[in-house]
Amino acid sequence: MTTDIRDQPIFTQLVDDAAAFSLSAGAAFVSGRSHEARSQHVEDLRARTTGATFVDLTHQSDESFRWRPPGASEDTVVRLRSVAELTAFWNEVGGAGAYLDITGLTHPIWVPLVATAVAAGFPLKVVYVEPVKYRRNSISAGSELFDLSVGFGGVAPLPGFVSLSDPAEDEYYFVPLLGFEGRRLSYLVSEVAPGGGRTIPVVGVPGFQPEFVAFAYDGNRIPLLDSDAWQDVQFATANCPFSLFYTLEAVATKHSGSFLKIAPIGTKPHGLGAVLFALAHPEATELVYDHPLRMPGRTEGAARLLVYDVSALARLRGFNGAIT
Amino acid sequence: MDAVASTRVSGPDPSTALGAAFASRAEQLRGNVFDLFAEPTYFPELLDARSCVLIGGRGTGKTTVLRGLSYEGRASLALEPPASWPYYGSYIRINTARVTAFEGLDLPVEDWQRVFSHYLNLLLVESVLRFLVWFEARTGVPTLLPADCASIAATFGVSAAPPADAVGLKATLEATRTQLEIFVNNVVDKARPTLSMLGAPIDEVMTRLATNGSLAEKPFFFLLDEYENLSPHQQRVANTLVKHAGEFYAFKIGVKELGWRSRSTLNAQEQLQAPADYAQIDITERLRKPGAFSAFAKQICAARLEHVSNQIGVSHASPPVLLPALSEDAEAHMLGIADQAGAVRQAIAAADPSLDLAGFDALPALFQYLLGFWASGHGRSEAACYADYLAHPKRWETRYGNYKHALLYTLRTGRRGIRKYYSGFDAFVELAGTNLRFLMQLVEQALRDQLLRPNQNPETWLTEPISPEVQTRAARSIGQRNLVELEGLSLIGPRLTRLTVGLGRVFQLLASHPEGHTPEVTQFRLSESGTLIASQTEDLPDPRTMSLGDTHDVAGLMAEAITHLAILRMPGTKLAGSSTREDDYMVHPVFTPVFDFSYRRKRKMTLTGKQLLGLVSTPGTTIGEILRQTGREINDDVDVLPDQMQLFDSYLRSE
Repeated sequence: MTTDIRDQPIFTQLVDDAAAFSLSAGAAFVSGRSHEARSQHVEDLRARTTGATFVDLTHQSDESFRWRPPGASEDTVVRLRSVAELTAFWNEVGGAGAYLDITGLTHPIWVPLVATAVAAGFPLKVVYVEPVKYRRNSISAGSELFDLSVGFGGVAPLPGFVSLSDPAEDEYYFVPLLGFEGRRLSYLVSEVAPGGGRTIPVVGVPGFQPEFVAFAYDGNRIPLLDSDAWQDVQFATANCPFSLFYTLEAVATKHSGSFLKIAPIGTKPHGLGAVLFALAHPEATELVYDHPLRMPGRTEGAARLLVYDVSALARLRGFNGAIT
Repeated sequence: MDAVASTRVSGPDPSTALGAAFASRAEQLRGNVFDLFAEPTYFPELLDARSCVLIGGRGTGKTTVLRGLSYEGRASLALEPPASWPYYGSYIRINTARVTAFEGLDLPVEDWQRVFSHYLNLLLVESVLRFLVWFEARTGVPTLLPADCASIAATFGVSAAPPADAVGLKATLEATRTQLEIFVNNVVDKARPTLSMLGAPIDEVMTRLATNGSLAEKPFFFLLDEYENLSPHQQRVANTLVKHAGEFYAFKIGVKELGWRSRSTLNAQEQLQAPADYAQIDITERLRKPGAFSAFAKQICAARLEHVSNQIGVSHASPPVLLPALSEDAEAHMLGIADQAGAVRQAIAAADPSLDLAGFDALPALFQYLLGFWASGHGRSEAACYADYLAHPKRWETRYGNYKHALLYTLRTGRRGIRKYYSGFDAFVELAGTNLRFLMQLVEQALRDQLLRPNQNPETWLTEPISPEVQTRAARSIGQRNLVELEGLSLIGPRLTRLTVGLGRVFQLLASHPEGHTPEVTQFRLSESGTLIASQTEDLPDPRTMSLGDTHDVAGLMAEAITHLAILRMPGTKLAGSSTREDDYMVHPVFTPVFDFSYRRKRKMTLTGKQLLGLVSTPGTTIGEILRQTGREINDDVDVLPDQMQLFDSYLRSE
C-alpha cells in the first residue's frame, strides 16, 4: 500500500449538474426526502428515468425507517439494530446493484444501510448532492455564522456501531471531521474529553465552495484554540469520502496502535469516508456522533452531484463483515 | 522589539508554560494533573470507607479530586510503595457514547436494565483487573489465584477454560464484553448472551481480594465520574450497587448539580439516603462558606504561578499583587468622573452663587456625582440635595456606601470603550463564582495579555502588577468565550446562550439606570413557586423534547442553565409558605464583564417563567416588558449596547 494519498484511487463520478445524472435500466435508487431543496433532485430524476426502481424511505427515526416494497399494500418497517432486516431490505431492493442517495437521509439511517450493504458484499454506489449555500445565522448570539441545527439529541452510537471498548486516555486520538458549527465540536470535546494533544481535526479542503474552508475555521476557532488542536489539523477534500478514508489511514499509520474516536460532524461525504474506515478497522475505531436536531431550510440550492463507488474501495482494501 | 528579544529568557516558551500550568480542564493538564494537585478541605472525608457523592458544577474540581484518589493518582503523588497504601481506587468516567447504547425502543426498559447491569458489572470488574495487573507489575506480588479467577469468571457465566491469573481473567472478560457488544449492535436479531447478576461479580472479586494476603483489609474505591451521563433508569441500576455495596468496597461518585436525576434503586420503594447510604459533599456549598473559595483559589493559583516561574526561570509575585484591586473612588476617576462631578458643582453654584462650596470640594468626586445622580432620580435640584447633605451628613454617608458601587455602572452609559472595570484578585474570585476552572481561565488570560503587551519585559512578567484595563479585557474575553462555549455544552445549548444574553441585557439596563430605583439588582426569583427547581429532579422534562411552550419547560430550561453554569442557584433568604425555601438565581458572574453589570450578590427582582421563555424566543419584546415592570423604558439613543455586546444587537431586537 502506497502511503501518498495523491496516489490512491478515487472512485468518484462527478456530475456538475444534477440534471445530467442518469440511471441505467434495472438500477435501484434508494433515497429519502428532507426539508432541503437539494433532496428534491430525486423527483426530477424519477420523472426523466425509465426502467429503474425508486425506493423511498419514509418515517426516518433513530430506530427505524419504512418503505413500500413493489406491489405491497403496506409499508415494511426496517429496524436499524437488526442486520437481518437491513440485509433483507437490500436483498429485496437491489442485490444486483443499487444507488443509495444519502442527501436526504439522516446519519442513523444511511450509516447502517451502507454498512450492511458493504458487509454483505452488495454492489453499492452512494449518491450525494452538494448544496449551493448554507443558512446564515439570523438570530445568532454572536458565536455561530450558520444556523444548521437547533440543538443535539446527544451523543449516542450510530446503529451497528456500538463500541464497548474503553481505551485509556493515552490510548486513543479524537478525530473530529469539522463542519461549520463550533458548538458541535465543543460539545463533543466535552463528551469525549480527549487528553491534551490528542485531538486531530480534519478540515474539508478544498471545500464545496472556496470560502467554506474559512467558514470551518471561523466556526470552530474557539474549541480549536482551547484544545490547541489547530496545530494538528489534517485536510481531505470536502466532497470526497475516499480522500478522507486515506487521510484516516495516514493518521492511523502515524499513530500506530492507537484507537481512533472519529466524529463525523462535517460533510456527509466525510461521514461516509469515516464509516468506510470504521468498517475496514472495526477493532480500533469508534464513531462518535451527536445527533444534531436539524434546522429546517438549513441549506439552499443543489450544486454538483457525486457518485461514490464504495464497493470498489471495499474490494480494494478487502474489508467486509464489520457488523456481526 | 529588539529590546524584548535581547532580554528574552532562555528555557521553555512562557506562553506554553502558562498554558500547561493553567489548563482549566483536568484532561488538558496532561502529566501535570497530579503535580499540580491541591487537596481541597473535604478531601479527608473522601477517604472514609463508605460511599460518597461529590456534587458540583463543571470546573469545581470533581475530576481532579477523583483522579487524585485513583491508583494512578496515588502513584504520582505518593512516595510510599503501592503495597503499603491504605486504600486503592479505580477512576471510571461514565462515557455517554457507551451508556446510551443501552437504550431504545427495541427492548423494554426492564430488559435494558438487566443488560446494563451486566455491562456495569463488566465495567467495574475490568477496572479492578486493570489495577491488579498494574499492581502485580509494580510489586511482583500475585493478587488472584486460579481458584479466584475461576470463581469470578463463573459469575459472568464463563466456566470453560478458567483463566489462571488477573491477566488471563482480564482477557476472558474482554471476550465477554465483545459478546455483549455484538448483542447490543443486533439487539433485534441476536439471542441474549448470558447476563451476570447485578453486583455478584463485584462482590466476588472484592471478597476474593479481601481474603487474599496482598490486598486484604484494604478498602477499594470505585471512582465514578460524570454520573449525570447515566439515564434515570441506569442511575437506578447504579444506585442499587451503591445501596448494597459490600463491606470491602465503596463508591465515590462525581455528579453535576441536578445531574443525579433518580435516587431510587431497582426497587422503586427504596431510595438512596444520606447519611445512611452515602455521604454527600456539595462542593459549591462548601466553597461558598466565607473565605473558603478565596483561600483555596489563592493556594492553587500560587502553586501554578510557581510552576510557571520555575519552568521559565523568572521570579513571581503572589496572585493579589499581580492582580491589584481598584477602589470605587479610583475607578470613578479612571472612568472620567471629574467632568460629571464638575457639572454638579456648576449646577449648585449656578443656583446659589454665594454658597460656600468648600464642603462640596472636600467630598470624593464619586460622592459629588451622587448628589447630582440623586437629584435627577428624585426630581430635585443639585443645590437642594447638597443642602440636604449639609443638614444630614450621616444619612448621606450611608447612602453613599449603598450606592457608590452601583454608581460606577452609570458613569459611561452609552459610551464607547470600557464602561466598568473588573479588576483585582478578589474580583476575579467573585467572577469565578466558586468555580476553579473559571478562575484559572481568568488568571491565565490576564497573564497572557500581560505577556503579549508591546515591550513587555519577560523578566518582570510575573511580578509586574497587571493594569485594570488589561484585567478587564481579560475578564471580558473569558466571559465571551464561555458564552460561546455554552452553546456546545448542553443539548439545548443555543437556547441557554440566548437566555443568558437576554438576562444579561436586562441586568445591564437595570445597572445603567438605577436612578429612582433599588440599586444593584443582580438576582431574580421566579414568581411561580411551582415552577421550581427543587432538589427533586426526577420529573424534569427531557431537554431534547422541550418545546419551551409551557411553564413545565421552564423547569427544564432552568435545570439545564444551572447544570451548565449559565445561571447560579442560591438558597433564598426567605421562606415561601410553611417549609419550602425558594431559590434565588443570577446570571453566572463570569458573564457580567460581557454585560457590564455587578457580579455582587445584592438585590433581587421577580421574573415569571413566561418571561424567561420569552427571553429565549422573543427577546426584544420581553426585555421591554421586564423593564416596564421596573418602571424603565429603553431609549435606543442612550442605551447603546457596550462594544462587546454589539454582536448580539440583531438578536436582542428580535420580536
